[in-house]
Amino acid sequence: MKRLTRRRLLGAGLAAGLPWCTGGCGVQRGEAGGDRRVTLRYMAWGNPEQLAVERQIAAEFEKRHPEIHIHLFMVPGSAYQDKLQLMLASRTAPDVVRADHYYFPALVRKKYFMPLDRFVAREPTGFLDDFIPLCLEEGTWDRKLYGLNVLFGSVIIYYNQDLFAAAGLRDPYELNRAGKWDWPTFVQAAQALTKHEASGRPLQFGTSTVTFPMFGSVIWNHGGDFLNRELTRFTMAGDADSERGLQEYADLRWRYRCAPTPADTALSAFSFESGKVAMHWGWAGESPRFRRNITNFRWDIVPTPSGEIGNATVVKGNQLVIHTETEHPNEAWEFVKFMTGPVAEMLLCGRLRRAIPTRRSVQNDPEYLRADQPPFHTDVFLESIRRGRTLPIDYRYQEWSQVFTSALEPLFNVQESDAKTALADASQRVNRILSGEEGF
Amino acid sequence: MRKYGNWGYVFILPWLIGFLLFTAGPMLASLYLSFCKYDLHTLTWVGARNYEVLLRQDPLFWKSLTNTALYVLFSVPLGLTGSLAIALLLNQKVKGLAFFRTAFYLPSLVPAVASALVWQWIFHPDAGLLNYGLSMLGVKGPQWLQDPKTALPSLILMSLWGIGGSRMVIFLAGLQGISDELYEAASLDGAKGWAAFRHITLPMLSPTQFFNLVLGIIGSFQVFTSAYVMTNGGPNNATLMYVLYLYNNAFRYFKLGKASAMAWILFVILLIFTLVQFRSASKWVYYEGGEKD
Repeated sequence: MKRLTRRRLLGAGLAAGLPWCTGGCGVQRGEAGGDRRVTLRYMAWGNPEQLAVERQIAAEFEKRHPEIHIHLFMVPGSAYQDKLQLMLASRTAPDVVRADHYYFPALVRKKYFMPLDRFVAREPTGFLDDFIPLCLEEGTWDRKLYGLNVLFGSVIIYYNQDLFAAAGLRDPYELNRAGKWDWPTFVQAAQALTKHEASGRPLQFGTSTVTFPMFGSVIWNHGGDFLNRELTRFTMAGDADSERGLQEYADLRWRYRCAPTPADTALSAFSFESGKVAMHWGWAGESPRFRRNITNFRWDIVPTPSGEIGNATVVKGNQLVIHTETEHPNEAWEFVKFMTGPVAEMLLCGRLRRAIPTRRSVQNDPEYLRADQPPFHTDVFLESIRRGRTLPIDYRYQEWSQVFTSALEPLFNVQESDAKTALADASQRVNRILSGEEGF
Repeated sequence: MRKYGNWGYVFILPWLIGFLLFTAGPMLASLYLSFCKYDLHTLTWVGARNYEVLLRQDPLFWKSLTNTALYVLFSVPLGLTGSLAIALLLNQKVKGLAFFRTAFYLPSLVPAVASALVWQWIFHPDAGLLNYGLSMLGVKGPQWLQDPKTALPSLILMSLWGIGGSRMVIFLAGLQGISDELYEAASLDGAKGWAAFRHITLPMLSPTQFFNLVLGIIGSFQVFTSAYVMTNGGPNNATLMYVLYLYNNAFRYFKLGKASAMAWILFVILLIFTLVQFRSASKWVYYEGGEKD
């Protein structure tokens, strides 16, 4: 048996490592294999339907740009933000990335993304005019455009048409068209659609409730607001309109008992798909799931109700951005342009109707407007965008929104507080964050 | 001889490299980071500012520390007592002993996330087993995880799920290490039952109890999964545990300097607890071979 010497140990190590190094020493970037195509890495998250559509769009892009190969990798939604942050920090992020707007302001200020203005300047005059302004607003920071919007959507109400008909109630879509879909009408309908057993056990609820920021329109339409214009101060506490709006929203659960409590929803017993909730507040992107799961009742969509002050709806999208470190900025721009262009938007919004087109030309296209599967009220998507208002999301949003939601739990979860008290507590906590020194 | 001694270093080299790279290195890095403001992008030296902010300006830090201390205060004694009780039962000579031992050990094999989800069902106010059981006794059960008053006790209750696990096995091994001669001698002197347990079992088991106590306190201070999966720190921060708040600072708010400072504060707390236990051990831990140095 041979003796183990240092020289032999080193030799064995080299022999083990050599094949790996000659095989490429890890990940290849840039040109793919020997075909001289540029490989662009694109990262996104989503469900299997979304993945399929993204693949299809990437394939369409490759057909039009045979010199570019798209390496699409999907990351599970729950791990996406952590992974994205770590990849950006370690300068290993893909060339093109889809960033949720909840995180976009915190990331863009770190200069992780390339400004798009120089690419836009090369495009024909009026290139940006086709985009709806709200979408461009979300992707803009420090007066520069950093991201183009994809999967743009609003909070809308999905409603069970059969339950409305059975209760003899007027269809909310018709009410909305007649300008009568307001908060009192919504509350009345929710109460009429709620059923309890004699023992008090719930059988059916009129509406679901949602957490911040999805109930934003209720506050806005009562005349209130969350933060000041500069996003530096919490403004709800002491503001009668905000307090009233929030209290009325909490009343759905505790006073009118027409919305499920956390205990009722804990085991998904009262979900919209179960047919036991007549109205569901949700993002526009939930419709593919409902199409897949709902087979035993008719459903459609209506905007969130208007209030005394206005008829705003909550809108938010994701931003498609180019990583500053990309070696292929021009190819990346071509891909971003395609992903947010009419062909991709028609595939994405027309095929799955997961999102609302960000381009006016697609919004007005008969192919998009034509609906042969629910939701049939495509105009509701567009109306909710016209009424849309963006959320107060800044770089500290993750922290203050969590604190705010937590402060509202005594009001929404166990009815141990009223809106006034909960907001006074929230004000202290949120303002401490907003006025605090950054990074601590 | 020296030549052979060098080979020893070669053989421990893989471990040594791993320890330096993946344990000692990150520990030193986190110590350095605890004196910096770091968001994965920009690193700025801020001295003791993170510690100052945590100790003097951050109410959630104290809230999370209080929650965790309460959790430790109740879950450790309850868990130790429960594990010892099961070990005593499984130390009896009864039929089907192997089956019982397996059955009691099984829950600890269930992954933490899976058991947290099962407990969410158990705690469900309307359809949960717990409130169903209470309703059979004519008691209206609380809201458990939904109510700030009962959320933390719920997590403490859930922590008892693991009492049949490794801690119980260690107790069982300790029990089996106690010589029968001691019980026989005590029996001749008229000591049986509780007296034998009090004056033989407990003292002879004291090194095992000491070991389980030290590890139990360390483990309970680091509780994370149940709060993360079941309540996410809510309602209204009632279950915001120390490590969960540390995680939030590091990976939700990207305040990695502050999170590192929290990690070192926890290290110091655990070090103090452990030292106090070791100091007090001479008063209540009995080693059969004599006093432990």
